[in-house]
Amino acid sequence: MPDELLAVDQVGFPVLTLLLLFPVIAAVTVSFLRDARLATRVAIGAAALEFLGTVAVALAFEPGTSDIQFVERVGGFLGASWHIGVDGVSVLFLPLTALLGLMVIAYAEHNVPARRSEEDPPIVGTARGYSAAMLLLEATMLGAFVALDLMVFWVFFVAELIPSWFLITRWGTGPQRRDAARNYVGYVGVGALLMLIGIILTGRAYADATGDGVSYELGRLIAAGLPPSSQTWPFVLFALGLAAKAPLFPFHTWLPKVLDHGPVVGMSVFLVGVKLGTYGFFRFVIPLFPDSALEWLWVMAVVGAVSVIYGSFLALGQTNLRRLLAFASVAHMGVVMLGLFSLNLDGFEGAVLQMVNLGIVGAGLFFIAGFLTARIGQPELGSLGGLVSSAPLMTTAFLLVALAGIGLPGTNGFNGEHLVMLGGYRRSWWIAVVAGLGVLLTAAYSLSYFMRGFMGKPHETLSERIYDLTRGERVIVAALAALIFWIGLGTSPFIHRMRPSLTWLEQRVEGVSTSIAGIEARL
Amino acid sequence: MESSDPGFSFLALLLFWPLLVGLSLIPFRDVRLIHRIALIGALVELGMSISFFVRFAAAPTAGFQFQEQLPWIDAIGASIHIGVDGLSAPFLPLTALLTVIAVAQARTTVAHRQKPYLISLLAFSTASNGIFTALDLALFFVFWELMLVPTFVLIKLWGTGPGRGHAATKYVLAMLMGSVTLLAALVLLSVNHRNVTGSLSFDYLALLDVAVPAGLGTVVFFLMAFSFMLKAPLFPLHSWLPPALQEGPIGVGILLAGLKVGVYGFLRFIMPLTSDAFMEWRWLIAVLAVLAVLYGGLAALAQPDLRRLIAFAGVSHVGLALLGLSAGNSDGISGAVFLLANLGLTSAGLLLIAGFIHQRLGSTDVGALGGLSVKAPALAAFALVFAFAEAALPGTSGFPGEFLALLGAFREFGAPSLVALAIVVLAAGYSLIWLQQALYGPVTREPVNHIVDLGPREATLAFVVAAAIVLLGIFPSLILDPAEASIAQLVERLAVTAGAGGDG
Amino acid sequence: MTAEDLLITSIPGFSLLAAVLAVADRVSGGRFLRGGLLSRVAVWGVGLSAGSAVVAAVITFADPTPRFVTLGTWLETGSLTVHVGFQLDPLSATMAATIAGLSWLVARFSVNYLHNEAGFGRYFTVLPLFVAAMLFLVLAENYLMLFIAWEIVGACSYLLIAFYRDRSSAGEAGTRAFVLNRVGDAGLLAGIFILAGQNNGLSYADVLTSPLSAATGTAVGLCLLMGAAGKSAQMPLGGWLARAMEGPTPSSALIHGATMVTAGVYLVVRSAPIYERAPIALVAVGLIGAVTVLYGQLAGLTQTDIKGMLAASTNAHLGFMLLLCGLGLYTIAIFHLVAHAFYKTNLFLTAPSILHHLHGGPDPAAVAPPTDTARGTAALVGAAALVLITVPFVAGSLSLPDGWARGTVALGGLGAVAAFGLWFSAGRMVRATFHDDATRTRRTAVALAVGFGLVAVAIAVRLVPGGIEGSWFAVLLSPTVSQSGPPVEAPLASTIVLLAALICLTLSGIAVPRFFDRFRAESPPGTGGSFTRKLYYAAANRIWLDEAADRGTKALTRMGAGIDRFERAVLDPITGALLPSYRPRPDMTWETRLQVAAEAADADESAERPGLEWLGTAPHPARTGAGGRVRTEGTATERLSSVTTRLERRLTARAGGLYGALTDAGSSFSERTERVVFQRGVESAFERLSRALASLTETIENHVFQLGPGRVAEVGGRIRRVLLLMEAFLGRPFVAAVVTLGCIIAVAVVR
Repeated sequence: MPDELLAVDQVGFPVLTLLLLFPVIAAVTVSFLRDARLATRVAIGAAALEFLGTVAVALAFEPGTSDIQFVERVGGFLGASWHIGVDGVSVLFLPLTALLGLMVIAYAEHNVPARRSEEDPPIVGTARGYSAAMLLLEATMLGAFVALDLMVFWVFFVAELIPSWFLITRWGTGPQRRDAARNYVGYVGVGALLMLIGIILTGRAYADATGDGVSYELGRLIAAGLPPSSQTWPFVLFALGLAAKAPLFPFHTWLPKVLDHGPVVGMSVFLVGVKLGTYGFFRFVIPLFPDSALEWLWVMAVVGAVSVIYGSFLALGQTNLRRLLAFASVAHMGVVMLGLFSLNLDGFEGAVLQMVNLGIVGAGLFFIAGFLTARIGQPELGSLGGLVSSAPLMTTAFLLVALAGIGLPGTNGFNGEHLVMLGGYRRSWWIAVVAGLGVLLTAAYSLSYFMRGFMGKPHETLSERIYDLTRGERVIVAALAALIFWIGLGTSPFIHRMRPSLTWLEQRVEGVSTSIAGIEARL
Repeated sequence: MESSDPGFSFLALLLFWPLLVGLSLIPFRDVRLIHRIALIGALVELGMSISFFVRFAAAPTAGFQFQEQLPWIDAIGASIHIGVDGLSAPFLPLTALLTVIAVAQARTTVAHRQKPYLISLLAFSTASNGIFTALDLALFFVFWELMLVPTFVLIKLWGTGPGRGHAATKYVLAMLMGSVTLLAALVLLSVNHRNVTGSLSFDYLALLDVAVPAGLGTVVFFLMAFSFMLKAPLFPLHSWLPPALQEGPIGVGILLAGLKVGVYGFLRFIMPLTSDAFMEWRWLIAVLAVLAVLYGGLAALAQPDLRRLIAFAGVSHVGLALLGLSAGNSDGISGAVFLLANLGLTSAGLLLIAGFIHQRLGSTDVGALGGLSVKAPALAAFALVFAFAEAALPGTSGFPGEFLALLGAFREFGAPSLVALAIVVLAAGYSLIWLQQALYGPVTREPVNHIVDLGPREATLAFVVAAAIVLLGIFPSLILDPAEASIAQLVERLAVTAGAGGDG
Repeated sequence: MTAEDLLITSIPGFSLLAAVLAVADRVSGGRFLRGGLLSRVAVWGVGLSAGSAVVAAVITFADPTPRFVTLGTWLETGSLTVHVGFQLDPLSATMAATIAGLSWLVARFSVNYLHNEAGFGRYFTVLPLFVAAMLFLVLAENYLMLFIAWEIVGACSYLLIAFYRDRSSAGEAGTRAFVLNRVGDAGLLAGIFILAGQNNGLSYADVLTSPLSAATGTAVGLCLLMGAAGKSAQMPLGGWLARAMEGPTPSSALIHGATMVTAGVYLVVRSAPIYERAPIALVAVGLIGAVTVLYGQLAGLTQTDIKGMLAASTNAHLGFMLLLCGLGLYTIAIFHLVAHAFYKTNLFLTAPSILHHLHGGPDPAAVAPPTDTARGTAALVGAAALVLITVPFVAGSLSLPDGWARGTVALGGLGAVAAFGLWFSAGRMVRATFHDDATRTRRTAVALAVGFGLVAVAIAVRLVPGGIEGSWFAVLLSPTVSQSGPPVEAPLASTIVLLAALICLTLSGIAVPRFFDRFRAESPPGTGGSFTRKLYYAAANRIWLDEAADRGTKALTRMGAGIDRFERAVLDPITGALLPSYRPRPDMTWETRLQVAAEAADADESAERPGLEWLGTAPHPARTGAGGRVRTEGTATERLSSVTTRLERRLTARAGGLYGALTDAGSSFSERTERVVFQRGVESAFERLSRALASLTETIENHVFQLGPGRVAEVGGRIRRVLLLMEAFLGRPFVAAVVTLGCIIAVAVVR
């Protein structure tokens, strides 16, 4: 495991803990504020501050080393300890998450409770609670990203369910939103349960491998190096848990429901935008269980491939943009898995890049879906068509983000896509082929929706309800577009931050594989 | 750069992108759609080229980056080999920018057959990209020739003057003459490579390593120099340019006057490949260059027609650039490189103005103008900016190049080179006097009273060019720093040969 | 960046900021800085610059060691490195404070003066830019930066001279000024080259201390002098200044009276170390100065236009400063520069503006008999005139203590003469100005206020003995500027030169006023007659400087025309086509004829060319009417073939020579090719190709994207249905559970 630079030495105060506590405090404050307007303002301010803080961390992070930075390690309880920090990869996700959070809350100021079509039940929650829940959700996400202790990760992983439940049930826009919430919590909860077992097994294995007691610290576990025999079960359990969260085929069915009946934007943007599940694979599964990873590589790759193709095909068939995006993000997850389980540097880089890029793309498209919902209820193709004439800006935005998703050169999707294919090709040609196929299918479903929904002749009932982007929406879209072009044209800074950690990971995996080869040679 | 680099050196895509966009236009019918697609394609090209430039400038090297090599014609040792170094890096964004301008400008000017017009423009853009990136002499020659066809078609079919037929033919014949000698030179070089190493090769880097015997070197030098002087164009061989600009459409004018591939040829091929002959005969180039400066400047001074004026102004500035090159020291060469970039922007700007006026009044001749600035202030303002850039006013991109080129020449040739200082006065004279006659004073011609000022789209175009001009004028290091290493290498190469015996 | 650096940077910085804001506003079409806001921004920017300049000056005088600020590297080749940087020492501090202060006053004054002019916004966009460039010029740390600012200043002056765009004279004057300046700048550039050739930096610190051989020094000195002569309107390049008065009066006051024109003097003083090593160059400086004084006096005496008088006297005083430099009395020169800046601004702002609204016309010759209103203003102008007269005396006579030999003779005589001439002209001016019954307008008040302020300052500066050793001014400047030793190794030469100059001056001073009125009545130009008479006409016509410049330009243009004829008559036939040389007729060029025809043809185009839809037609018919935008490119080709061919026949002569024949053949061939191949063959081929492609894309579009009729659609639909079923199946929780357990069991089995 790479060295750890303590936050105290670096900046003198536990910056990450503060970053985690701040939104929680803000959430509590907000929920106690009487004046709803003031509350939203406060929430926006808090989110903005949080965003700035994460950016500051990303800037203060010194690139070029694989060290884990801003580390804090406090106390210990049954082997678990408050152990958090960021490395070159997670440091990228903090600003992304915070930015999405900021956008969502800012968007909520005017659109919660959202304008909606008649048949839906009314929203029961208030804008105040909404903001508070969002802040809590954001905090849990950030926590999961900085966690360096399995237990800490698991706690955040589970804690996330609570705000999500309330968000879906109280601010959902669909009639069956309770089913959706139940579904979501059921899947992820069971997944979490499996993962908990896996975690405990890991701790045990550690205790057995090294004389001293149970520990869930990533650093120690990796340093100790679990024996291959005791890696299998934890690996499987982790894989199942994370696959349910990601979601990957065949555990993805909760996602369309949630996105369809859940809040307009809100946690949906997080679900699409923040690829926590695959991050878990990268952060814990591969470094902890390299042998199993190598052993089960093909299974995981196949799962990824199936997710890509299955998700894309279903997306191709959808008429509702929000469902379409659900399946699209399943496909995205598949691409990331392909990249990750190529188990080489290019693959890793591509996968991490794609986690960021597809996050941005998914979030952007879902924002636009949200805009549409705010105008005409569900973005069904039946009630769309010819938007370009009445809402040119929105059309442009959609096209731009969609093209980024397809990986047009100059946008952010390009490099990640190419790296994933490259890495996959290094591992085996058919991974690359599937990834390429994924690109084609992505082009197919996003562009066909674009042509049918935004081009063509306007739908007759459309004209009176549709209007172009408002100022706030323009700001959101502009920010996303800027991000897209920035990552697309100047990828190097991002790569340079993440590369050392990924190189370390690759070496670890290679080391294992060579040792295995050595063993087999001896037998 | 190995392929695991995130930036993903995909030079070939950049190179052929315009052509692809052009071909993709064929199935469409709606003219607006066609224009929109072409414009978006050009913008994407611009974005890509800028990202390339930025990535190069982030870590500038003397050698070539983003190299890509594919087998092509192994029999003669020709391969598809492209790459970018500090000397060619600035010209990719320049080409892309000029293409964007030409395409966008075509939207309101081309009355007829918009599609083939755009296709030819984009093909031209690919050709010049190829010329700037080719690292294989055969490939270079192919692109060099590829440039001919679209230019001919553009001048011939969309020219605005009655002499366009002759202008087009003239251009083609002149270029063909040049290509013959160029081809001969390339073949000679490759044969020489075989004599030394035993195998034919057209690869630039390979040819750099083999020494060229003195006699052959001189021959090759003159063959190449003729071709490049013809293309540049340098003084006695320039007579194809004025008609081409005067009779041809504005768009092709922007590309022709803006991309001085001839001078680039000197920079890229003559100076490194036949350095000793160059050091021996550069005084000839220098003399011609000084003559060109005076000749072009004086001729421009007497032009009533803006487009012809721009042509002669270009002749004189090309002279200046070649003077800087012939100095063969770092000042001169960096001056020349910067001057080329500036030439692109400035003549593009002035030609835009010419196009605007021509669209409104049917002529760019001062005889038909006068008092424009009262009626069309925006047009006048941009015209002033571009005229100042043409006059090399500091703060515009005109100045650093001119200053460095002249300084380099002075360092090398001493007092005689100060004759070229005449351009300081002449340039101010011809640009400002034309402006004064066209812009100031009371309106004397009836049509001018009804002239419409620039529309938003036109203003945007002009503004982009003006902004680029000012930006480069204030931060010349944007171009000079990336180029510095390559220039230093070139200077050192020349110095070695000069020391070895080629007396300066 | 320390506070001091920040302060120094802020001197030009504020004005630059204002300029940038103003430019941005212009670009955006004047959307942001509505109404007076733009002018307020300009005034405030300049004012802040003035503030920081004054502070900087105080700091510098407290501790005169030069301060350097380097903002960055402007350009760097292998052998030359130039930094963007400032040097603040007493000299630049004095200049900066003077310039910024005056500029602020003038800017404020202009707000009222120009408030109902058309180009209000334009004026207040250029003004801060000018001030910023001027401050940059005096604060620059090396010669290249100085040159850059020097040029931008020139451009600004061009823009302001050509301010009234509808007057053709304004445009001409601006162009003349700029081009004549460029002549000087070429010299300056040459000097810079020589310096750069000596050592590969251009900063004063390196250059002025580096040893120069006498010859090089002389060369550099002469080149720099050339530049100075251009900018400071010295002979023989000085003609432009008189015409520069075309601009609005405040800008004349600021640029062509007080600040920009003194840049040349500043350059010479700044380069004093070089001149010290190059006596000949120094003599040349003095000589040029002397001759210019003469010119200025003569011209000034005979002008009937008050701005003309002022311009001429500016010429004279600038010459006077250079003369002082030539004598090595740099301090006095600078002192005179500052003083002159103040009172010349005063004169410019008071007299003409008063005339402007008392008479409407700036010609004092046409005035009504005197009544004594506007007495205060009269006194004001009188005071300023007094300053005008006495400054040379003060400067001169007080310079006795050092170097009798040159000080007394030269300056005493010179001062006397200058005083005589200047007294005369000033007297006439005062007399001429205030013979009128004025209704006091608001503008008078402003003029008075500004005027009083300026005079107060001017007097304050003048009252103490300025310039000479030991005076506070000299003490302030001493660290950077100091009197030189006896200027010339060969005193004889210089003395002769100076005496000659003095004699001329004496003559002018005595003779001209004497014979003045006699010749004034007569109708020009009686070229015959006595010497003084000729002198008078010479002076009245500013010894034909402008005409000379014009003749030069014409000669060059004629040369160019010759070259052009050579192009058309010789080169073109040899190298191919003979180009049509057509002069556009003002109302209807042949091209406009083409366009009219084109618009006519636009209507039934498709009918006319059935096979060519794929080429795309003009989306909207071109706007008609002269001055509107017309699609010109390609109009001449197909639809107008008849018109075109006729025109081409008429306009294109056959080419000569073998090559020409070749071209003709080629072009006619290409004509036919175009007609036959391109239209019939290629176009139809393209046509078919595009049809095919279009239909193909359509089918794909139909079948794949919009799941329309066709097998693809059916298959797609079936797949979709299957997938949806599968989705529903997977959707059941227990399926998921089964799958999970399945996985686990599978693993168990494998293990």
